[in-house]
Amino acid sequence: MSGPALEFRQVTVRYEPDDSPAIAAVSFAIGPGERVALVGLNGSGKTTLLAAAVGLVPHDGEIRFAEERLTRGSLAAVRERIGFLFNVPEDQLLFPRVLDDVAFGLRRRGVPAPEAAERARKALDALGIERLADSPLHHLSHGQKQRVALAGALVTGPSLLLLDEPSAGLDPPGKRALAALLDRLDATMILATHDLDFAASLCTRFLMLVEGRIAFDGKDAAEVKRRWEL
Amino acid sequence: MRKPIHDLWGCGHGPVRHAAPQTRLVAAAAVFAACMTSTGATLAGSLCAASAGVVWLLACGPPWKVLRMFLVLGLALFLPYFLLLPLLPDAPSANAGSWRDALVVPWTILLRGLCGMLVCAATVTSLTASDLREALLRLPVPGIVSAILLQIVHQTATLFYETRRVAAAMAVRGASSGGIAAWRVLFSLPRVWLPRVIVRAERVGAAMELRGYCDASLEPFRATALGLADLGTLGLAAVLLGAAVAVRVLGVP
Repeated sequence: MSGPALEFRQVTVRYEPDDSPAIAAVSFAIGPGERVALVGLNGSGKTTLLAAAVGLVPHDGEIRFAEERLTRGSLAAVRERIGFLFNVPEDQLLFPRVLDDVAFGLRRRGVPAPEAAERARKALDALGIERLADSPLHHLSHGQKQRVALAGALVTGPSLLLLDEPSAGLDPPGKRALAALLDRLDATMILATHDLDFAASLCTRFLMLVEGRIAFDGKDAAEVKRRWEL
Repeated sequence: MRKPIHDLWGCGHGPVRHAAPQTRLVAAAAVFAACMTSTGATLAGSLCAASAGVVWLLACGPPWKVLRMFLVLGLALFLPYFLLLPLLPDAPSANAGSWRDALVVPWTILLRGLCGMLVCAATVTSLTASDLREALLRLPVPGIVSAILLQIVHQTATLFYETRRVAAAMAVRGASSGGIAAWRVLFSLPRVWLPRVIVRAERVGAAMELRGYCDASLEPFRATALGLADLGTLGLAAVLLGAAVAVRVLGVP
């Protein structure tokens, strides 16, 4: 694999033809193993950018994963390599039992049931929630659901992680554990977040979105903070 | 706080829980068929439907509160029809020769409806949502049908909590609670609840697409061997269905 792990070239997303763009002519490239924090105010386009990256919203411009252009034909193969966390965990939990949900990605890839169950339990254990493996999902708190959704995204060992507000709803020990866990991964990561401290503890680069455009792209967390407080 | 309706799944403690999930579902379908086959026109038919319902209730062991709730719901649904039908001028039973004949149709509706509803409720209490998934995946049900059914069950809980949040928000902001809040939620369905549910459905659809939910051949997760409990459950259901069919076909009075 060569070149950027993810590249946006002049990507624009409009939800309606006459609307102003949710993201406008966004261009950036992220190298393999790089960890990038996507920061910005509410409505700045963070979630739209992540959704465009996995083909959930139509876009103009070009999106490339390791030199492979995102098209209708390549969509399924590209998604296989991505771990995605939605900002509302309930939306992506599709099974009644925690273990079934976490193991789904593995089962879909043909991993035998016992191995899938074991790996799913390990993923839950890494997030400190192995005890919840057999619980019904609707009995969990928001923070617990967040961790289950994250376990489901991580369990397949994706090479690219797109995480929308991963620390939202987690208590401070949970945030620290999550940061430590993500820190151990080799995957390329984009975290959309409002939590600058969490982002700074994990990411080496910051992309700041303002009204759908990149207003800052750099490594200086202090500069992001300064702009944030303006 | 009131127990969510979603918690009905798997709350029963009857002996049928020893059988495999798919056995429970097949047996429940047979018992349900027995209730639907029975006719209220004869005493034997009425006894068949009632005994099928009672036997299945005993086998599933739903909590008394659940049973009472469904009993009240069933009576509320079917009793008015039972009482009013003989008075309706265009009803088919209006031309019947006697009161007994006139009451056959509503009685059959009440009998089948109530027994069918109780059988379904008892089955729900005998299966956890996870059991239902296992059962559907092991039975020759088309994958898309299983996927849709499972999502309906799974998302019911989400919708319940969504409704409860709407009610709580109304209670807090409108300074009303209890029955008044419930009525307000009911009347606000098109304006508040429905748009929220539609937006949520779009997001769930996106997640399903991204996770490959519909492309995946959903396979059973747990290995279950069929044993004596399965044979017993299926045998019981077969006897109930057989008896109902025999009474109907032979015209036992």
